[in-house]
Amino acid sequence: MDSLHTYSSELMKKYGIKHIPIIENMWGHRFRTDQTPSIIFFELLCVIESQLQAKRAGLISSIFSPDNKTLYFKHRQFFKLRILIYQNEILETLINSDLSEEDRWERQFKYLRGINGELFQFKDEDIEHLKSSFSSFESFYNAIKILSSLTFDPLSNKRWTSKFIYPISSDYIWCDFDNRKSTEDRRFFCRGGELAYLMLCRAGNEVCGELEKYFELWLDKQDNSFAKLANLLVREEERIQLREESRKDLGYLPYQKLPIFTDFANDLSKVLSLELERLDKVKVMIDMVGYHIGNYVLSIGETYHKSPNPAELKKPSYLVEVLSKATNSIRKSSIQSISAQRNKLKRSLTLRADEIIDLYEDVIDLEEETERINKSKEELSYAESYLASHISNYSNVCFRQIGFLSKKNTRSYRYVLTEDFLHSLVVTILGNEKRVEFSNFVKQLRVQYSIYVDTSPDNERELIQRDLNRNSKNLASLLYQMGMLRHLSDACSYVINPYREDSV
Amino acid sequence: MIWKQNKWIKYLEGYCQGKNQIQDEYVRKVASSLGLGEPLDIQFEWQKQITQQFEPEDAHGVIILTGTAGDGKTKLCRDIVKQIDGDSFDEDKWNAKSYFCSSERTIVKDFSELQDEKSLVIQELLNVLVNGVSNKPILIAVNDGILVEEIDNFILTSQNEESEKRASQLKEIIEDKINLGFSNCEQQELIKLINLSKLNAKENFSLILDEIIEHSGWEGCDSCEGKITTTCPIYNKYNLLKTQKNIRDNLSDIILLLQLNNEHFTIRELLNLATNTILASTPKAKHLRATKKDTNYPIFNCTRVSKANSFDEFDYESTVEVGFWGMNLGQHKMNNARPYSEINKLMFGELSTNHWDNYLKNKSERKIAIPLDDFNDLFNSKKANDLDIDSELWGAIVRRSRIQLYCYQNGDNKALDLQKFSSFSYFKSMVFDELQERDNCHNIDLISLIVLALNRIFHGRYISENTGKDRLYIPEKDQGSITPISIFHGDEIRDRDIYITKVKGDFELTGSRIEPVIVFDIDRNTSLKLSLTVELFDFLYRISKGSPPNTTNPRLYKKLLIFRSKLASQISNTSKLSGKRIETYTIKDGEFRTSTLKVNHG
Repeated sequence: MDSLHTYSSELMKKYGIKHIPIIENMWGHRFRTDQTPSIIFFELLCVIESQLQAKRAGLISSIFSPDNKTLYFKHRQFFKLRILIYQNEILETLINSDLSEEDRWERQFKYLRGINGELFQFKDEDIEHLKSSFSSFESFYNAIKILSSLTFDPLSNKRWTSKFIYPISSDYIWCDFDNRKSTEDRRFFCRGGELAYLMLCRAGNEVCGELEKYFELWLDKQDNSFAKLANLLVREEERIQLREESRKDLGYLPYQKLPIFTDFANDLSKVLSLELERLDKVKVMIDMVGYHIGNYVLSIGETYHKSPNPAELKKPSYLVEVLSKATNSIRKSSIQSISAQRNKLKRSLTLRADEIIDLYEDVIDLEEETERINKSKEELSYAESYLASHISNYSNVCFRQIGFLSKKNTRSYRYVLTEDFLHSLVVTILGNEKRVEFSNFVKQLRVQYSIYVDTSPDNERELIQRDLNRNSKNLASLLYQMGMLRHLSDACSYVINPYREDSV
Repeated sequence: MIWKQNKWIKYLEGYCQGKNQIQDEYVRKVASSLGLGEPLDIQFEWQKQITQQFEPEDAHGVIILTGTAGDGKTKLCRDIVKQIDGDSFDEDKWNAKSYFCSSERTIVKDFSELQDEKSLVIQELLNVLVNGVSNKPILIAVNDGILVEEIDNFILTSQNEESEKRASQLKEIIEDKINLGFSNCEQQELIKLINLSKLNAKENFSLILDEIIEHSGWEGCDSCEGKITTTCPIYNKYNLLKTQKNIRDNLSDIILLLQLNNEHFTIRELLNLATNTILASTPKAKHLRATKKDTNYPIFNCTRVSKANSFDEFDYESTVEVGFWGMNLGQHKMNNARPYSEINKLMFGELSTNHWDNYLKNKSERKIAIPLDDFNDLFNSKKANDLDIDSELWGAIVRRSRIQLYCYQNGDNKALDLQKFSSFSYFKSMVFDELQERDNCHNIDLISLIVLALNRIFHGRYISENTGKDRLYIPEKDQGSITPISIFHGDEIRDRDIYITKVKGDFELTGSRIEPVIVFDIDRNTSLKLSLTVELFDFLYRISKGSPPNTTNPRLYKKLLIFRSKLASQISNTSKLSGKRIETYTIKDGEFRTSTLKVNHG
């Protein structure tokens, strides 16, 4: 029987990893808690855009293929636009000054020409482009202000090269960068997006084909005002193909094929196919990325906590509370389940670590037996520490950001259905359907996402049926509050797709 | 003089009990066992109209009667069959089965009671779609959702692709009609759906109340001590409702208000409401009692009344509003059991205006008297605390007095200010009354109000009346339904392309309720609709007067942002302006305007 996973003994060399890559062989290289679902999504789009260039250059046959493991193009950098939006400190001074139009432009251009760094400095062509695009300084100012209003997490203190605009078109896809060292780094683009990309590549031919079609459309030249503004501000960036020796390896994903990869791809494909506005699609896709990555991390724990070589993937179940003031059996069970899931992650590490350590004999190849044992223990200890810092908590990080996990009204985290996440679930479950009967919707939550609202996962005895019934009612009430439920009669309600139904 | 036991009251009491007791078969049995010559038999005009569909010998076609449990589907089925069969109608045979199928007709009395026959019925419906015609009359009574669920099961177990396709088509037609009242699917005209939930509950309530009041059963109270001495609270309320038609109208106007907010009340619920209004005893919760009068039972009957020790305080405590608002049933049922839960959501008595508070205090300026007028001095005292009145008692007196003012007033235009939706009177006159007479409503002031409010909601800015009334600014596509502020302007819809109309179902039944919708004509072939409930209208009204959209009603605000998104998507498909300029929204000199960004497109 084929194993679910493939261990690699090459990771240390390939990625310059200093310790035996135990965690990397179990969950992949890699996830870090700094990389929230939104940043994963930005990195994912960067990778997809690069692979699109590779496809156009004839270097790969399709964007999503299980054979794709290399990056052939440098990520989009688009520094000029980023400088105009985030590093143009003189702009406010100029717009508020009494200077003439000409003087304002002159000062602005002088500033842009004087920026340090070959990558960041505005050349004559860039200045000419600006001059020819805008007939007034005020328009130029307004254009920049408009784009900066689309900044993701605008109040954060991140360096300007780690600030992103919602990627509603290819004009706003760019990589994370260390402006001091003038090099791409892994501060925020930790490879989580690369792993997400690899998952999509291993989803299955049919859905990969659909994804490719939709992402190509997404990355096509757009005709909307946002795209026009970007084009007016900066020239098109030349896409640089990497020399063969400089091509980068994408991250490492230890699983060739898992059903959750297909689920992930199907959800993204569905969202992209909808007649939704782009900004809304971005929000829903980020939520789906957050759910599926978090679910992946926990699924590995769920699958491997009893056996180092299981036959099939097991998914965790999520007992959710629809936020209520009073505590109940659902809340208690949900809190306990999070603790149980974390323990499974630890146990799965314990079960599999030795097999992985054995692959790296040369690292623990020491003369004395005790030294070998100590070295193994040291490596395991490091892995446990990494697990605790970056893996155990990672699903919490993902779920918290999307509104699937909360501490509200309690002291511990438990799974919840907030409006934001519920909105994304309604969009992905209904897709292009106008409506679905409420009990079917609840069933789909269970079947597609292992989200339990009105029934007990694994027949937990602690759950009280009355609490489950009330939970279901609260869900109906919340959907109604959101304008996504229509009551028809005592036993019949429909979850409606507000983007498709005519009447509100 | 003696207290009589009126069988008619006993019969009415049955309608105040649980739901099962108001099944059609059961009430007929009860009437028969009580020896009542005629039970309550209300002739709804819509029943006659539907029955007429089946009268012609060559009447073919599918009619699905759907609705909530208690809407009268089964009774209507029986009446139709009885009308057609005439003397040969067999009551016992009718009661024994739920499914009657022959080459001449198919009648399904209650779809949920069928077992294996369910798939036969579905197959018959599919055959109609396949053949494009029905060869016999098919009448099916089924609750919302159950038929769709069965079609779903049929699709799941189907092994025939064509069958599956037809079943999906049938499901879409039925679901559309249940949810929206109409369907644009192919062959939808072959499946007529009468959703009894879409009937006019206000009219039904009026008919029910009138029928109860006019029933000859009240003659059984003649020569009863309670009637002669005017001490019987049941008879007093009956008499009040009989002699003061305005009270009946006022109560049914509340049903209208709720109905225009897409609330539906079944016949069963209305029967329960009407009988509870007459038979209610005293408020159960202390904080709703104006006196110390307490009874141990929620409703009166002849036996209980005859055993009362004194009748002094029943005039205050057992009044019409106690039963209509469900105060006799206790706080839990008032807030959770329909129809009382819906009526109490309107917050009657908790809200007031200066007009009504003055009326309450100044008895002499009123033409109407209310039972709690005996407490009028309290309203004119400086503070309730000065008189050392329990705050709960004071609250009860104030609240119930306001409700009584509403119930007893006769044609006061401001009557409906005493509840949550302060603009309802305006809505009623400008929208509802207009649509009763006409199909569409183009009133310019009304449309301007709607346009101004939507502009303020869509653009997250306080837009003045000068710039926001005559055209609806639609943002450019792709700015999302989640962001409140739109930046780029897409296109406009002029006020002349916006109007109000009503949903039209398969049948124009007498007694169909009016469901207003706002229509936005994007072009000759494309329009979007927005259901205009009282709640939505009240929200728009308040926004047009300056309330902030996001906090006034967050739920509706989000829904309308999604609607903005739909408009933006639709309009971008047809706009002639797309691609030509970059237009943004700005505030200039205090006025909201579109402004073209001065750029060179090359």
